[in-house]
Amino acid sequence: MQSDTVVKKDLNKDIKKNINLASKRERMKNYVYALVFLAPFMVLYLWFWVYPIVQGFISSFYTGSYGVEQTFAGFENYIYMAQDSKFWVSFGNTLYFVLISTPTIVVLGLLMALFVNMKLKGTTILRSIYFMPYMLSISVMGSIWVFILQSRTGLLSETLKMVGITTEIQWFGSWEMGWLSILIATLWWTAGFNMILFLAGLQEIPDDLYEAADIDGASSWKKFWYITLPSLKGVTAMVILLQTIASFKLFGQTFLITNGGPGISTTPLVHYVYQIAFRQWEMGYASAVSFVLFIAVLLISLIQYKVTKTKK
Amino acid sequence: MFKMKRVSIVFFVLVLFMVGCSSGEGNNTSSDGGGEAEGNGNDVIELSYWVPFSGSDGEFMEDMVSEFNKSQSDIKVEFMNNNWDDYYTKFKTALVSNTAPDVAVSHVSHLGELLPTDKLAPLDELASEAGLDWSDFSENQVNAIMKDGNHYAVPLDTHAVIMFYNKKYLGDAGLLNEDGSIKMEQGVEGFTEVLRTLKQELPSDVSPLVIGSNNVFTFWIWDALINQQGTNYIEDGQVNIDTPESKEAMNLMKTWLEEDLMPEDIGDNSYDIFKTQDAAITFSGVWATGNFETEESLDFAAVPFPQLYDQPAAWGDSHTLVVPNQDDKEKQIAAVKFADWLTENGHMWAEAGHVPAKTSVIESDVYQSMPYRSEYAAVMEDVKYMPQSDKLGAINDAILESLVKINYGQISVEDGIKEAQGKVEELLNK
Repeated sequence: MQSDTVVKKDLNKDIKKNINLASKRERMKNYVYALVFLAPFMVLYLWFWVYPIVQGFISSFYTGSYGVEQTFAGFENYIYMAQDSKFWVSFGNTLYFVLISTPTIVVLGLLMALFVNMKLKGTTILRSIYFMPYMLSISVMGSIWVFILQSRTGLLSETLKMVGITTEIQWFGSWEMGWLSILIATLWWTAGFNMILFLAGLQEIPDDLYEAADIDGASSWKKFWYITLPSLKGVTAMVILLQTIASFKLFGQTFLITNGGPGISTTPLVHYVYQIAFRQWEMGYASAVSFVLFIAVLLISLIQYKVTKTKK
Repeated sequence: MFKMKRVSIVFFVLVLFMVGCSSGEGNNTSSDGGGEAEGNGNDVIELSYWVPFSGSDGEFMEDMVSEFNKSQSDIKVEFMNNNWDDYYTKFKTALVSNTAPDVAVSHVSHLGELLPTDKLAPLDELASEAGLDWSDFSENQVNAIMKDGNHYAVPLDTHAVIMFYNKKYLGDAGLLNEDGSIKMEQGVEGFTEVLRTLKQELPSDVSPLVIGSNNVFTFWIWDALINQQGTNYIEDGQVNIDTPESKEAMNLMKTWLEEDLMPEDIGDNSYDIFKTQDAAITFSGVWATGNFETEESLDFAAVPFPQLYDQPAAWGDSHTLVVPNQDDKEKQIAAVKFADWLTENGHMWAEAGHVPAKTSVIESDVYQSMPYRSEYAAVMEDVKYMPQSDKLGAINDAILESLVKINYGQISVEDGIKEAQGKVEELLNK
């Protein structure tokens, strides 16, 4: 009996070892194949993404005008940044936009998805209509909103004049209005994309949950609160994360619609980076500001990731 | 094991291929140039040519290039139009990374940013070989393209902010002389009085004056007004913004805004507002002439920027042609020849609204018989070019930000001007 089991154990060991060896070789082979298939991508990725990031980090320690000379300056750019009031104003502007845009876009995307998902007549067309703005390039989107909102000659202003309302609204005329205009344009442009994400989430919720709720006589509000919303948790977390990052990267809208003004009221951080790099030609300082933005986005993403993970 | 080797070879080849791609490109450009230099004989010299004419003037330049290509068979110019907004982003980056075109347009005001890269060729020697004569150009323009005793660019035109007015509206308000000029007293008060009269006499939805109160026009007009009072914003390398003259200029604009003599919150649509006859007067660029002409019902005049203070002055800039450094001297000479041809045929370029650089072109019958153009050509003598600085773009942006804040009442005239002074000092000392 005993020896029998010993033999069996040995045999098992042997087989396991063989399997292990085989799978090791197999795995190795897999890795190599994967590497070959990934290589074309990886080469380009390292070349056009990783290398510039590293180079950018290095140049953030240099000062000097682009194309003239660069001198190593240690942390000078970062020290200057701490005292640069325009940096803080534009950083504040970026945070403000993140705060106003993320919740509104997420809620609007969800509402649109819920509406389209009701499967009423014509919702297929609505779905396309909601999504369509997202397919426009940012320059087209920017021109459209300037065309609509600008004072005196804008579509809105002309229409109001035609129906007899002559009060002029200065859509780009102040800090509040400038941001409101950019928010509206951004909502119109990107809410459709979030709608599609939410729609995919909605369609993954099994019907039997609702059937069971119907049998229990749950109201539609309760069904939404206890079934739909909890089931969408994953999608919501993703949408919030994507939207936050996109809002941090805000540039095209302010560049094209308000040009950062009046004054620097609507200049977000990326817009300021552009001005430093390509108007002042100080690549070093621009890189330094970019890196601070990078770290801010990284931190916030990590926090969000942690928060949503523990909830699960 | 064998397979792995094969795989790694594949990988290695791939990497080599990628590397080969990049260095191949580099070799190509240089051998290209070299080849043409040696075998000059019957070869056509091809020139790449970049311009920032994304406005309506791009078409006129394109016509000129094809005309040039037809006029001779030695040089073939390949035209590439770029967006004005990010032209210098692109052009300066190309210069620094040695991928610049053979010839390109640059504003005089941007030479200060481009020259420190040492990538633009001094033109004196090339010009004498190409047969270009500097004395054909006005002194004002030639001075603006000189650095350390060398010529660095070929002036193509002058463009300035001038005054356009709607003849019908001014006539209705009784403000026109018999010859079509404006009936006004000299100076600030006289002009503001004209605006007040227009406000009284014209329908309420017509503004007496319109300018871009949130865009660069505000800066250009401020620049003209301080120059009319005999100051400039950088003098002898010192920032000179916080001056009574600056405040006077902004107080004047504030007065116009507060008395509703011009509308608030106007950007690029200032052109449209004048064109659709919703305003009687506008200060705009000469390049708007071609645009306004397309509206047949608009009866307008184009005259130099009015003199409101002690001396005549107007904001202006100049398009010039620059030749980036390269080994192939033949190409550079061809580039200067092309530049010379463009200025010689300046009447074609004048169609776009710009004032040609060569005095002989301005005096020619063709130019003199063109509508509007000859009336404002005199502005060339009044143009005060902006100071030279390698950070001029950033400096102008910083000033504009503060001026716009003043226009929108976000800051007082006093504080806004002081803020601009501080920001520009900081930029210059950095």
